[in-house]
Amino acid sequence: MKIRLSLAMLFTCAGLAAAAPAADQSSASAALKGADATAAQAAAAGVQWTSTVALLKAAHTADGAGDFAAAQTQAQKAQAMAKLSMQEAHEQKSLWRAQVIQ
Amino acid sequence: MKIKRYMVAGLAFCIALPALAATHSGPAADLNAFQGYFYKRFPKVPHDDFVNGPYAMDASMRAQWTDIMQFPPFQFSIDNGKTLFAAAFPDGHHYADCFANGGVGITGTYPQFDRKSGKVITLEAAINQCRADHGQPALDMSSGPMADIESYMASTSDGKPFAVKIPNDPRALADYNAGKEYFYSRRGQLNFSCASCHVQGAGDHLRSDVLAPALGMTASFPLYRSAWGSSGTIIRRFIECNTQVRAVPAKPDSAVYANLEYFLNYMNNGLPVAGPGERP
Repeated sequence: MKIRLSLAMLFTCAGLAAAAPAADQSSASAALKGADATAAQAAAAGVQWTSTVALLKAAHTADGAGDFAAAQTQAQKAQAMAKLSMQEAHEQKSLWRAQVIQ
Repeated sequence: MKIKRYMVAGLAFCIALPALAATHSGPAADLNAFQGYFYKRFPKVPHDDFVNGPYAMDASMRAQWTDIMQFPPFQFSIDNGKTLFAAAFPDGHHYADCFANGGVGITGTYPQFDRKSGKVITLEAAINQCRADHGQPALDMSSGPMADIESYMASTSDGKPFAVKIPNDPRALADYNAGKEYFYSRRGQLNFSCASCHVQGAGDHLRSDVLAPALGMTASFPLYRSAWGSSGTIIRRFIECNTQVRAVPAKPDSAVYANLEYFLNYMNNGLPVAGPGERP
């Protein structure tokens, strides 16, 4: 029973790995382009996170070094963070009032 | 007939209510609520002592501070600032020519709203404006000579009450409100607002530090901070706070920081100027 479960997990993991498209130069480049654009929006709005900037820098460094898998992963994380920073600012447009000393 | 009269009176009351509420909001009402909150929360702290930040909250820190103040680490800044302040520009003018009362005892009146430009002018901006008017390049608004000049100017204001004004001008009120919104808005990856630490967390320990209450927090600037190993302006602290919550800081001369300083210094009104100060 245990062996069967382990085998099932192994096949599932292998299947997931096969399903995930391997990162190459073009996919990393696309991810970087998207992350750059979203980060630029966050910066223009004055709501950028330092962590987004750091991840984006690391993604570009990895891309330059030919590590496309790392570049793609970091760019996707950076883009997600940039989106979150804009969402945070959007929510705070009304939520800040809840903190005001009355 | 009586019923009709009551209905008219009721209607008039309903119309007047929002207007009545409006008179109880705004900077003056904010000031009362803000100071009242801290006075109620820390009843043992004398009102004027709020300008001493963590030292008003923690006896052990206060004892250390008392020792440190036997040889104030900001004295070099005051001395250098005094020399810089007194030095003539190439055109023969001085900083004193740019300020009311020759620049003496005026720290607590800044930031000021300038009706002509429609902008909030911080003391840092006014010093740089003075330099520009006399053909000199702008100084870094966060540290160095700017902090030294401000240290000297603050030393001439020591003990004088803050008297920041918000004139009856919708632009001034908009800037004040923008500063207030910035103070209470969460930002950065850590999702902290200024109020998270300095209102909700005021007096609490953050590792070995004690979080200063927002009331009086800006009264001791410029500060010599041991963590910096030098003096810095309030702008330097704003930048540091932003970075600590993982938010990209604004530019030192941004309206964002000017408005925030406007709001915070207005909240200090009535408290004494205590700058320059010293913090861990």
